Amino acid sequence: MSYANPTGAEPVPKSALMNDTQNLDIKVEPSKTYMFRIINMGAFAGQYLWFEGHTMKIVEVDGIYTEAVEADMIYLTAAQRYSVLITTKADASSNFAIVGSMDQDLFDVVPADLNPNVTGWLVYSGSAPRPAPALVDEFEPFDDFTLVPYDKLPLYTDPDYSFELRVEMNNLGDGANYAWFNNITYVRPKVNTLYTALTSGNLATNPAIYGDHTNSFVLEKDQVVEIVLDNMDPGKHPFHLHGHAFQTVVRSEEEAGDYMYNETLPAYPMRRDTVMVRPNGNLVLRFKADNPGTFLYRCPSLSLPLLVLVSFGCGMFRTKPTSSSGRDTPIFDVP
Amino acid sequence: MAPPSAGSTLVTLCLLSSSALAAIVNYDFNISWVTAQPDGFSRPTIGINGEWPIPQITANVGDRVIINVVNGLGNQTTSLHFHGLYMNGTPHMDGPVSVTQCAIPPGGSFVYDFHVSWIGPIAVAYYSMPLDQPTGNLLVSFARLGPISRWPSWCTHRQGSGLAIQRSVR
Repeated sequence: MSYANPTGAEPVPKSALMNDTQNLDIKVEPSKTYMFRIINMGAFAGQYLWFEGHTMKIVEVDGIYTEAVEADMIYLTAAQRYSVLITTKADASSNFAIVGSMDQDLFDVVPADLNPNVTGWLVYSGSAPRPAPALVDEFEPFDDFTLVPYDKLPLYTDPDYSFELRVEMNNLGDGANYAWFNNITYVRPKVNTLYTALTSGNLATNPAIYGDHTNSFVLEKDQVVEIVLDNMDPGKHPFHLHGHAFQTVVRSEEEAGDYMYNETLPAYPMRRDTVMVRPNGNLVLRFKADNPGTFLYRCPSLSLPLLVLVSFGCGMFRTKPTSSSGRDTPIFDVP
Repeated sequence: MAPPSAGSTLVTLCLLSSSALAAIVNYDFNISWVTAQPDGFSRPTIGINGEWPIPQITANVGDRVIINVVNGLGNQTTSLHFHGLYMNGTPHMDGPVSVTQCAIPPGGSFVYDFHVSWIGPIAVAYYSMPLDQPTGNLLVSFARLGPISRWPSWCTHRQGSGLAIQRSVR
């Protein structure tokens, strides 16, 4: 935040990169099928990605294999991953552009000279020209909500613990813009949540001891947890859960408002660890608390809301001394 | 995770795992400021061992990765988060400051010790904070975890691994 940026808006990236560079050549041979593992490792901007002249077959998202589905264009929020299969053409005389294009919807003030695109090439022939990418009238990315996990893990029905999170962005008295879950904006505790959990004995299951502004929720072992996220902000936001993948059971269209518990849920919901909620829309996630520890649920970009899930294994965490250092090493019971 | 069935256009070669035993993979990372020009314009960025892009971490599923991190930034604290690894049994290695650990102070060190239980690419995110300021500064960079031993049987070449999409902020 500064006098030139009085609302504290996120800085707009100056350029897009592909594998840490621009104008990337990816050599390919004809009539082969390649797997591309893709990650958006930007800190803020989502990106659209497509391979001119080639279709992608999506087979994995965020480490979870899926039933294969074809797509012409995909969209990755910050921190999302995809694996796609691409079958190269038999004709090796031409090269084809690969295009990444930053999603400018969340950009505050877009500089006139911003190039939101990054181009690479599938190079069949080193001596053939690298064509400039064609203009695209509209972005029509594949909707990841429709993916079915390859393991067909069925929908978690009857969650044991369901809570609602209302996402807002607002300014505080210092003039800076903050993000909020349920009217709480995250403030770092002086003692880490994990250390508090390890040293509080029976009080560790009381969320109050972690501090109101950490927005902590305490989970029991193997509980099926449901998060209902109502996005009160006109921006689209990705959300990432540490330590777990979640089933994405509902994702509304833009402007749908609060979740009304009126949806038919998919039998085999898409599962991943980072997913986008649409502007003024809602999102419902379900997962099993099977990984003891303290984990963040946050937006994987700059300064957006956080909350902490304190998840317990078999009873309390235990500690045991290690022979080498003499200090206690925490043990986390994992089923 | 069982592999999908192969289509008729795929060569059903399986990449062989070279070892049945999980390895221990060690790295020393000195996190410091470096100057990079990914889009032709120089800018300071956080690098590892004097490099940007940061060095690749290579490990197979099941391996134990031990990274000795030293904070050479001078003016910022730091910690590392391995985005996409669930840290089963080692949640204290997850990395977010004030959630699972204290920040690594300038000159300080921290050993990340965890098992790789998931396929890559895995982004290594830095949680960095300027000293004495409450705001956080998150710079994301990339470390591939590969080759991965348990590839599906329908997979052929590993060409094009980790087509990372990234953009720089000047």
